[in-house]
Amino acid sequence: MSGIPLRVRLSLGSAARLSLAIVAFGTIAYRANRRGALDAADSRARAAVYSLAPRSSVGLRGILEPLSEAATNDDIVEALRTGNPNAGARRALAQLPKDSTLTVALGLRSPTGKVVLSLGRDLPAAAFDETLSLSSAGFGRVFARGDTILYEAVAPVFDGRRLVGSVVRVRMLGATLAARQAVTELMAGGELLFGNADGTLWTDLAKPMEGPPSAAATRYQRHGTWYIFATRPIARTPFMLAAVFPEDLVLAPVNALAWEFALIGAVIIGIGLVVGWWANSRITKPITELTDEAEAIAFAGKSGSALATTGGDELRRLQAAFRAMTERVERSRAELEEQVADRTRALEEAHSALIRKERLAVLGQMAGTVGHEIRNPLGVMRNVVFYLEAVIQNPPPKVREHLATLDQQISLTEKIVADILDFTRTKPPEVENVPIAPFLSQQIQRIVPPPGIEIRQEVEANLPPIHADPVQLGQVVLNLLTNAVQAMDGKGGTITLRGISRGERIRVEVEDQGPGVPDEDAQRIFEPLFTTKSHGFGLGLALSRSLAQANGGSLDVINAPAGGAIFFMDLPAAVVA
Amino acid sequence: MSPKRILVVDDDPAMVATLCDILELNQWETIRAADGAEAATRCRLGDLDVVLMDIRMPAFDGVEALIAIKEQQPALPVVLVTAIAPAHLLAQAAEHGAFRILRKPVDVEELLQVLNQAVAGAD
Repeated sequence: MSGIPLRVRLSLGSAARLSLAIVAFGTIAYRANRRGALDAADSRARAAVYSLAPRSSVGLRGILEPLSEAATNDDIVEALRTGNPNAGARRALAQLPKDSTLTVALGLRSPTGKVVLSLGRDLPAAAFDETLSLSSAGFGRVFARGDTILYEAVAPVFDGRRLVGSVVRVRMLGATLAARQAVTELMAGGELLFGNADGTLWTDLAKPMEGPPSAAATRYQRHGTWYIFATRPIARTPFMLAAVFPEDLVLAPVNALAWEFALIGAVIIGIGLVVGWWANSRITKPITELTDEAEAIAFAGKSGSALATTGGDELRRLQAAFRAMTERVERSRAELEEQVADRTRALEEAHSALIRKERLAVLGQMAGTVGHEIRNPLGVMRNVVFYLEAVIQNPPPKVREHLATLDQQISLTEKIVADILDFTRTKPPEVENVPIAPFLSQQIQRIVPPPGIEIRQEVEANLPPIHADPVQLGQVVLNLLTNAVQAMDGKGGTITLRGISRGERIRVEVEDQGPGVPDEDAQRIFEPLFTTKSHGFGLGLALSRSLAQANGGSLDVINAPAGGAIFFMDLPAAVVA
Repeated sequence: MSPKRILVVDDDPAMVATLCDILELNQWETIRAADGAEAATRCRLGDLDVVLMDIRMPAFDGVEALIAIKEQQPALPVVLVTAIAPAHLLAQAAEHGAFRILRKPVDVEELLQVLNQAVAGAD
């Protein structure tokens, strides 16, 4: 969205809101109308079947009366009693009123359903034992034969009190023209359907139809079309009546309304877009100008006070706020730069710490192997020296001197190997409370300074003990003293070893009178393998710092005002109970 | 008194050679082996007074050889030498009756002293 001008966004925004409102309103109105139309159709269908059902009931009852009469005819009773179709019975049946072409079969059946006599088309045998169900005339089953829905009208025949069979007429379902018209008049496309009592067979009186599923629903689908319907049973018959309307026809007026509404909505949105565009352009014009000016300040470096104060109240306030903001931005930029510098420094330190760790890891792997491999040949050399010293009786002075040199060099190499191995295997410190003055004195005694160099100890009175591993810290102090001696480069002078209180920490300081440490080397000298000496591994200070850190302390260097370096180690003081 | 017989075991031939020279100079009779398996085999003859053996050797190391030797010759003193060895190896060596474990770099004077002690203890 950010690339699109504000006036476009505003116009589109209001158009979107307007559209949303119209669509919402339209949807609600459509749904209400639709429900109304469906309800009306439902009522009409209901009214139709309610008025037609009783009339149909009367019409159907009329069919049973002649059958009941025929059931008392003597010839028919005789024929059924004997199971022998006689001429009299045949005649009696033939005399039954030919009510319509709807009759398809007429005949007599025994109580077990067997056909005794049949006129016209084939009379089907009954599918059940008629003795159990027949007491008076009524309608039998409804069934389909091919495309035709048929039903039976049945009258029982008694010989005295004994049931000997029944007179059966099979008819097609029919409806009066008036009844059909009554439904179609309610709504064009409406249909009148007849069905059996359980609603499994339906017909429009011409052919079987897929009928409504159950009386509980009001809507059903037939061949992909939805229909609204109402059903009602016809009293004392196994028939149901249904009025059915296609939903499309019911909803046609509602759908037409919806289209009209959509068209009007589209026109309203169109007008809204145009008007909105015009209005928004008016509002955003001053903002665009202000933005141009702001960009001029931002990119061309103009001052904020050059802004003309024009426009309405809101815009004046906006300009004032803008000016205040540019000043603040100026201020916070300075602060931010400072912060960035701080963070960068921290990051650089973290980075160098990481480099140190990586180097240590590599070094650790290497040193373990190399250190061990070098020790063996050194042992061999030492054996050789020992052997030669033993076998050469009264050696010339030069030979003795060289053997001594060889022995010294072997010792020196062994010392370097030991340093490397120590460095790669820093043990966890075993901390205890260490009184500072005697501890520093012990370290001074471990070193024999060359002539001309004096080591002085200055420890503040009443310093609490330090809380650290005396062996590890002793190694650090000794290393610092050795470095100090080397820094003096045989020129003579004083090395000062101090113990100073620093709040909750105690600082141990070694100051020499050498050349000091160049600024660019101040941090690197603590990295492993960095050295300014012509000999040595560059491990001493890295080991010292990692030992100081392992003991909860730090090790750093500054240059003394008088020249020379001051290495200082801040250590935790013992907590005095 | 006949010279004492020592088996010197190390995978570094130079180390074996120089040690043996020094030992011979000090009236020891030396026998050499280049690895633990060879050492254990040589010990079966039962004609040795002491064994001096490096722990770190390829394949059959000093501690394994120590165990094998002690099975054959429980009374034969074995002096082991090591620069760095894992603590469990050292504990194992002590448990299986190493006479002494010397740290590298080994001081030759000290070594000679320890070997004399080992032989004296065996007598």
